[in-house]
Amino acid sequence: MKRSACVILSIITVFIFTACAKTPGRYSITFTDVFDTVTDFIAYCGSEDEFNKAAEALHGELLRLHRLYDIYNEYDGIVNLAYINRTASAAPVAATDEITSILQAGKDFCRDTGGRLNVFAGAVFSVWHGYREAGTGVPSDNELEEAAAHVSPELVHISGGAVSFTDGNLKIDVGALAKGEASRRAALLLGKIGIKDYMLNIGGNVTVSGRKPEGLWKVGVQDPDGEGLFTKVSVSDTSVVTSGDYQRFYEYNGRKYHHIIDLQTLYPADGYRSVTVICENQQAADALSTALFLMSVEEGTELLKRYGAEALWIKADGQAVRSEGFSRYE
Amino acid sequence: MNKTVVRDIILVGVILAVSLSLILITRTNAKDGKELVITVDGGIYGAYPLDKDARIEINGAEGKLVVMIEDGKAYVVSSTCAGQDCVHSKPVSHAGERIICLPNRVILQIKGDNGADVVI
Repeated sequence: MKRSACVILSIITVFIFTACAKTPGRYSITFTDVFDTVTDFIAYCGSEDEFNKAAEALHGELLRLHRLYDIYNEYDGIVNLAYINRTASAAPVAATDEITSILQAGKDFCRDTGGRLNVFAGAVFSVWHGYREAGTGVPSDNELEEAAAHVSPELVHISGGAVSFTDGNLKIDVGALAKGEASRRAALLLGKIGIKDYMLNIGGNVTVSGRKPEGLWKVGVQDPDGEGLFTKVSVSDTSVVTSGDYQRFYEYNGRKYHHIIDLQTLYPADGYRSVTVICENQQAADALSTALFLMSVEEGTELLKRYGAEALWIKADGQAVRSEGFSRYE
Repeated sequence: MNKTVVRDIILVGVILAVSLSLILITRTNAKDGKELVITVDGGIYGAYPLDKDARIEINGAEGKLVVMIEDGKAYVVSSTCAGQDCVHSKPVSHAGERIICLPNRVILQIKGDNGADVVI
């Protein structure tokens, strides 16, 4: 009996060892031409060829969505948000499902966040965008208040696949939703072509699927003061998104002006350095990371519950607050 | 105890020890000092140890960047790009940290072991 147990143990050991040798390879690629940010794709695949094919398909899908959600450039033969922003107040524009569904999601998030997260406030965001691009100056109160008069979701109509505005100054800006929605659609595509163990990071929007051979995926959350990692979360089949005041900003007269605008003050939100959200729904994770940046921890906690999500807030004074279940990922 | 059983146990022990040490060797080989890895348009432009001061000129997709490594930190001194986001970025020194120049498709990244697959 004992002898046979030993033999079986030896066989199992040898088996484990050879199984390790057959571990799928880890491949990675970085894109710099989608969503005005850096995108990393890491996957475990049986061969380099399999990975390259997946990466090519992924890149094509991200580029397609990038163009659809682009508010700065129009492209030949594509009805995108830039085109809709320019023309939808004159006549209804027939749009694809990618556009109508993100706008509908925008309306839902706007309602669920009491107007804090508003993708129809592009008029205000574009004022700040202009100053951020110039890297100098701040908008006048007049300029901001004038823009803020054209941000109501009620002014945007989605009906029968067509989009129309009843306000010529309204602008859509899906910056808070596009990367999450692209992550969601990319995950569907990767699932369809049989890629199971991967991590996709579209500029701070991380989607993880499956596992690495050695275990869970590890996502590091940057210390807002630039001193390495603040924490690390171990995750599988979910998404992790961080919104931070250090991601897109400019400095003027010794003050920093970042890209997350509080529509109540019409200025960059100043409550937090960063907010990290973990949520299975990629689009919700993206939306929530911005929404939580714009509300109190108490309001944010209520919102998280509705989406079954967890969060880590790093406040302006450096103090960290975790939702009830966040630490089980750390 | 029967001699054969003892021998079998030793055999199993040896196999386990060999397997474990092989795993450990592969792990330790992966560990090394921090370095700055520069990529242009997805291709590796060069890798530079962070503990050695250096001045690096990079030909990007649209223009030139000058990068300095000083006291274990790397930063962009100048760039011909319009936005200058890369020049305004904080110096990087920790594993996983990056400076990006999108117009030039240049990524400066600190490689080193921080135990994370990605840093956000």
